[in-house]
Amino acid sequence: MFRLVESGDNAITVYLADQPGDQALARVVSFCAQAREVMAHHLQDLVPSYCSVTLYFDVLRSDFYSVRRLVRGIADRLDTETMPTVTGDPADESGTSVGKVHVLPVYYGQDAAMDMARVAQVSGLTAEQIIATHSTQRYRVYALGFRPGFAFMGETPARLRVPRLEVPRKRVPAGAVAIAGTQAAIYPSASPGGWNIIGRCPTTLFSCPSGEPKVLLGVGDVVQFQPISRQAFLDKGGRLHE
Amino acid sequence: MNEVSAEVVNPGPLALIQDQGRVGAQHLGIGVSGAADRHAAGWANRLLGNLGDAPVVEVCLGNFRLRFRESTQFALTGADMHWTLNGRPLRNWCSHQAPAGAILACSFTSRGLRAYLALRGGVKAPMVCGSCATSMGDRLGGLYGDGRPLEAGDCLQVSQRAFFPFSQRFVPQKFQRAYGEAIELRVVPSNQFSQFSAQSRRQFFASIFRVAPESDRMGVRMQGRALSVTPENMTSEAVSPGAIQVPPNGLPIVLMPDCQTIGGYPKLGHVYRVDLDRLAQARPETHVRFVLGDRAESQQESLLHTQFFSAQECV
Repeated sequence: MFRLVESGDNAITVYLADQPGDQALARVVSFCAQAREVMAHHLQDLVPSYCSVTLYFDVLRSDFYSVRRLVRGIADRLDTETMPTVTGDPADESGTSVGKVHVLPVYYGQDAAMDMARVAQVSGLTAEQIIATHSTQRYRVYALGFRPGFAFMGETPARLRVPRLEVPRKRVPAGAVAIAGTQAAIYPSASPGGWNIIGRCPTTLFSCPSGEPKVLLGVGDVVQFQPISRQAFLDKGGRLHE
Repeated sequence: MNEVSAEVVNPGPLALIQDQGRVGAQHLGIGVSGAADRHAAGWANRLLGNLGDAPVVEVCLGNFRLRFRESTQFALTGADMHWTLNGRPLRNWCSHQAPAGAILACSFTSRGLRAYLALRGGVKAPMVCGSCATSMGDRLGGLYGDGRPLEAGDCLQVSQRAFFPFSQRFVPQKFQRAYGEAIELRVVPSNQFSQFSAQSRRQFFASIFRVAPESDRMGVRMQGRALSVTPENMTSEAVSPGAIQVPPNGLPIVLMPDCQTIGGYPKLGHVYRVDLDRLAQARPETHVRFVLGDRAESQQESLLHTQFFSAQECV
């Protein structure tokens, strides 16, 4: 089951599921892997998101009709295939699960968690409960976007679902660990942002050494947060005043 | 090869190094960027026999000033900013030769928004993810690779072939654009088009919108009568320049080259890529009318544009 719509002069979006979730993600990841194999010479890029994949084709080498035919071929086969499971269980060594598992350190202290008080007020939880809830959940990366290396992750546990700020901040620091509704993220670089900041991660998520992009998280990956002390945060190269 | 350079004396409100954009990194969350008006930027390079993707300077609004350290060939296109070389007026849509030490300057434009300055050989800038295009939001590209716009004191370097004879070239009249107070943008329905009510779709194509002042290289915002009903609860998906997003306030935003790679607002359609060049020159209050186009025409014009401006270096 899929739906295909053009998306500008040089792109087609294929919708592979109606509802975001692990099933949708398995189809999206599987589609992308096959499209990269079969369609490489037609494409400039392909961008997966929760339920869809948008394929940007090179107008000098391909066209709408060729891309549509190939996309239909791949999407048709998806329905007959067994999807890889997306448990992302680190203990799973069967090789059937997609995505890497990342354990990312987070300093949840007051000087890093600008919105801890707000989240506590809305959720009715204490800071300790918030940290425990946030760091025991496993998050799945559903899409990259907004800024280089920014991963949209889900799902935030129901008790921690807090709406985004009414007025976005002009500047959220790099490494800010944030939640909004069902979503979770880490800001890879300083940028404007409206999510609730509850901690800071010292790990580099995006860099561009000698012109080549290095992005830590990929669609389908699994992220777990590990609380660390202020000292450990600083030791890992984290900066609180930038 | 002959190394020449020029010093930015005054960048004006905003001057950016741009090329044809950063293609192929959208899946990492990296935007395309690139010249906002690809027609004007493409012609600036073509006048000098540069490669189609040679980096140029995109001068927004005007008040830009440059000192050539060596004799340099350059070209000017786009919005008419009343350029002068050592105080003498220069023709727009035309290539020129500056003697060593000459000052190139412009005042503010009253029509259009962006002028393009190409230097023969192309401005040197580091390649970042396959492009030199400046993205201030992504902090990538430009003279230093970190997304900074040009600043006073910056030095533009070029490798020009030595002893290349100069002959002045003009863009044929037919392809020189004057940027007016009203534009028509052709639209191909896309993505969520069918989820908008028939009334909203009719209203969209029947309305005359005006360009809002809070428009930039990320998006051009429309003001006017808001569309009454818009689809809700959309799941975020990839977006690209030309997409017409309709946020809950009902006022369309046309995404421009610095747009994000993923968006959550429903899209009515995509403006023809070639028509975005005109929108890039639309000043606030410019009247905008969207007209229904078709896929074949949109793709054919995009292909022609790409073929024409991707031509190899020539003499």
